[in-house]
Amino acid sequence: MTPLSRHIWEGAKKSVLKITGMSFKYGKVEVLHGISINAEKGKITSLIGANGAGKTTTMKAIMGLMPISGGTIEWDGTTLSGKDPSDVAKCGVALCPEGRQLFPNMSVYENLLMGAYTRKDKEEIKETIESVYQWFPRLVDRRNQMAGTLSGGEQEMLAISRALMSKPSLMLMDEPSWGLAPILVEEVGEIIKSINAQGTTVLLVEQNAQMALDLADYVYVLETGKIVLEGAGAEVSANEEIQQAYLGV
Amino acid sequence: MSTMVLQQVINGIVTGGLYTLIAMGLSQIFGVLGISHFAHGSVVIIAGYLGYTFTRVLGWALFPSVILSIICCTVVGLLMERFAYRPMMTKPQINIFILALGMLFIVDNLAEMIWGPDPLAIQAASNVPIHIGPAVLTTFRLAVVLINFAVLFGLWGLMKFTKLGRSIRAMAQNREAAKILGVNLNQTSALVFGIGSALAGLCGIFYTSMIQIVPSSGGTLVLKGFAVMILVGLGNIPGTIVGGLIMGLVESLGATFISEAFKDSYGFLVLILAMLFKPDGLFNRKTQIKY
Ligand SMILES: Nc1ncnc2c1ncn2[C@@H]1O[C@H](COP(=O)(O)OP(=O)(O)OP(=O)(O)O)[C@@H](O)[C@H]1O
Ligand SMILES: [Mg+2]
Repeated sequence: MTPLSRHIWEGAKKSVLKITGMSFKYGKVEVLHGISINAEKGKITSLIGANGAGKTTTMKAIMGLMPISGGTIEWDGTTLSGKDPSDVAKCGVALCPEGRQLFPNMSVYENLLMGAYTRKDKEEIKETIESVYQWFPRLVDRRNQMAGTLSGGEQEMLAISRALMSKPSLMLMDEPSWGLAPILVEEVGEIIKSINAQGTTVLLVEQNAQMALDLADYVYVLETGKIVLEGAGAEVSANEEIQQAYLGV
Repeated sequence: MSTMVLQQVINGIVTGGLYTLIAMGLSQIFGVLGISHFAHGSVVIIAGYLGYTFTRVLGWALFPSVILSIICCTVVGLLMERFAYRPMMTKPQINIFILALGMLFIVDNLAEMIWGPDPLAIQAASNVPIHIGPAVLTTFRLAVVLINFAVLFGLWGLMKFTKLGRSIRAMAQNREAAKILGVNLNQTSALVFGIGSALAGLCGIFYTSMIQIVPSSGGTLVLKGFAVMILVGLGNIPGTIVGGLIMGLVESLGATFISEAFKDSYGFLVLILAMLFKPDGLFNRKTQIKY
């Protein structure tokens, strides 16, 4: 895999994601009960948990898609909580959402352009597209194909590429392995590693606990809206309860 | 006989363009926001009545009157979006449906109170006849066709090639993804209503100039607009142009060769037939929204 051109990652300065006591309600129902997460700069932090634990909710809340009911979210010293997604994006945060959420009747190229929505300079955007194409050569031949007609694997590559288009310094990835064959899961894992190796901080949500644990420097375990366990990747992997609950050992 | 056919084809093309104008806004508003905007008909007649008032009652020059009327009805469309629809967006769909119909009736009644029930018209600017073989087209009607084409071509380009158009399409195809990428959904909604209302305003001015306006014209026109939208499928600009023309042609040919009395129903007959044979719209490969 060709390394992504360095300029994509200029934004990736020293930074940390600091979530403190975050609560969230859907209407009257609280689904996150004061969770605290720190994602260290330049590291991969994983968030694992069963269906309905609140992982996607956490990601959406960080992105500013829904207002939180308590606590704070900070990135790189800037408070994100209370900001609109467009402002959160301008702080260098990008979300690669659950289920990919592509624009099905737009071409690959147009989907990428949408990824750079908060950026202004057209020339620089074109350069980023070229770097993304270098990184995902499979997308080049399909640049004018409608996103809805791509294969599942190609759609995932496009979803990741689109999130990269804003040159994020913090990348939130919500189940990137969703619906992929094992070989592609591995490939996505490699891509996440490379994105991280270029200096981008990654917060990864996965159902595929094995993958999340293998990639992560640090892991949080979320159960029905509460963090029940955290620790270094290897530590958590060695935990017996975790092995039973998530790894099926 | 053939003269009459030619004449009716020309008339059909001219009025068809008006249906395209109204259908375009409806289809974008429905495609992006899921609102069945019946009050779009009100926006049309507001422009028509204001155009009449400015030119015939106040005696202002045509061009500034037209521009001012379109601006006013665009503002009305934007106010409807902001203060009527937007607060209702989280409520069940049927609420918005009733609200839209309600606004249509209110404006219909207000128009009757202010301007009365009799048909009114704007005097067309220049009405020199142009002979096309045995048939006749006036310079004004020719101008209407040309302006329609220019406006719709511009809209097509805007939707297809600009960042603005792309953000509207993005919102239509996946609201949440658009939001994640930083699109301001409220602004984009307002924009869609603004563009649609301006087109409706143009439609109102042309309609009042070529035909005549009565308070219930809003309801009649908006239904034909919806018929065109359903006929061709959502958010398809070239398709909407063709759909409007089909509607106009069927109406004018039907009125001449079958019966004038059913003029307003021929288009719907076509719609019903089309829905029987192509339920997803004539030009849509998929049911999904595309531009
Ligand atoms: N729009 C919504 N309205 C009401 N409740 C919701 C909504 N979205 C999610 N929930 C509830 O919030 C809780 C957390 O959901 P969330 O989607 O964050 O879980 P998750 O950990 O991402 O699950 P999965 O692994 O299945 O994706 C669940 O109980 C879910 O039912
Ligand atoms: Mg989820």
